[in-house]
Amino acid sequence: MILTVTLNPAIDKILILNGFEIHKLHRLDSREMSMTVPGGKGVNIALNLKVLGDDTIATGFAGGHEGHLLCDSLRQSGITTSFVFTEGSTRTNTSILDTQHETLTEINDFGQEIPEDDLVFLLESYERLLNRVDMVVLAGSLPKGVIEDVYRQMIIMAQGHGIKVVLHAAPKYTDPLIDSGPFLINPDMRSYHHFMGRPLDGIDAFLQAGREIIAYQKDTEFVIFTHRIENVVAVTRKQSYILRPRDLKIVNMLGYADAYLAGFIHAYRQNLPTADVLRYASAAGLTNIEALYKEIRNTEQITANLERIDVEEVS
Amino acid sequence: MNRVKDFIYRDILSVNENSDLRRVIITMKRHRVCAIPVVNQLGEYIGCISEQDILNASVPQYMKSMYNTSFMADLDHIVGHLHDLLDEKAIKFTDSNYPTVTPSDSMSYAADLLFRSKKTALPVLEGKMLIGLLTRIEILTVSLNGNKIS
Repeated sequence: MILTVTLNPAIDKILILNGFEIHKLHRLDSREMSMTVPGGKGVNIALNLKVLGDDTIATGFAGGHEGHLLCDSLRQSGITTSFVFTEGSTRTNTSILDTQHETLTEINDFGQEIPEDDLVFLLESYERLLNRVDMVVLAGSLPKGVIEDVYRQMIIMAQGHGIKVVLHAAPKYTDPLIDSGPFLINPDMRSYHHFMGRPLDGIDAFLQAGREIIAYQKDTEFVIFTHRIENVVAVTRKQSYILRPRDLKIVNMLGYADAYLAGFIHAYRQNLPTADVLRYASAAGLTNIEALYKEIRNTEQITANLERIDVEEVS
Repeated sequence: MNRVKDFIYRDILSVNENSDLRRVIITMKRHRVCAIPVVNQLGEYIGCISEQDILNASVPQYMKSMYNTSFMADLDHIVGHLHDLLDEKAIKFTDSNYPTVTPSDSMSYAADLLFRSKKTALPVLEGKMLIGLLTRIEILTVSLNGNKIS
């Protein structure tokens, strides 16, 4: 069983339009689409894991009507929920995918403020949930009111139970957590190209940064940079890998890294060799990018896409 | 045969035996549930607290003797007494004999248990672990699928 933690989840309002313009009234036609679905990185990973056949418990904060919508929807997908409800409402994140101009516009709300007693209640609940899972995913931003140290506490608690932690969040959150030694670090660098206190971009820089983390922290087994899709860099204790998808046709980037990590976790739990785990993760990410939906719908396509991933091993 | 495992409402949020009554009431209100499971530090199920359990506890002792006659308890007394209990631990209000089911139980057994006990939901347990709830509406919707409860 896997536990995904999403402290700042969202309802994703996704509009797929054929030609988006400001100062214009859009009425959707039959080629266009509007979706209202559960969102937030950890929630997306849970949804993908369920599609891949892995049982998942989703926890975090939720609130109000949107919070109930979020949880109902997750349960309908077969995910067990254990969200702590707060006085404020779950935020709504709006994405506008323009198929004509091939643009993605995103507006993310900041979310509800969390009082201290709700955080204490969540941490109590989290500690109990650790008794029934063997892997934890901490993903996404922190809501207002939550101390920055909460992820560190959660990592240490999980490690105390011998549980592997996958960490996926912006550098602002991952940077200070490197020394707590999560099993896998995947910084979300889509909009911020600084990591470890320095500007970071390009294969060589990613390899260098990954090796520094692995050398420094004995508990960290994987450092993966996924945001440059054409060159995904994965650093492990033994060696490093660069993974490149062939003939990439981007349809929708939304949820790519979440699908990648779900693919990674799914394959890792099958005890596959490392190169095959990374290949499967990249194929899952690729499958997600080339379809309209933000989570994987077609798992057979992942298998078909495996041969489209070139794996370069770097010593 | 319809089994409980196919109708579980998979929410496992619970309160800790050491949570205070304030947290229990807040959680029930925000989660829109009439009863909430109580677990120990290890996450093992130990019972349930329903709205009825809290109401029963909120009637002051001196009123209880009159309670069974035509006497209607004064709201101010109940609210006042309940306010004094808000810092008490959940375990004090927990019904450890609250009926439960397992995933392999038949839905007819669960329906019978739910109707006889007049509860709104039954905790579903696998060993000592809570894996969800079986609600009245799940039993009622069995018939919508063209099934008979058996």
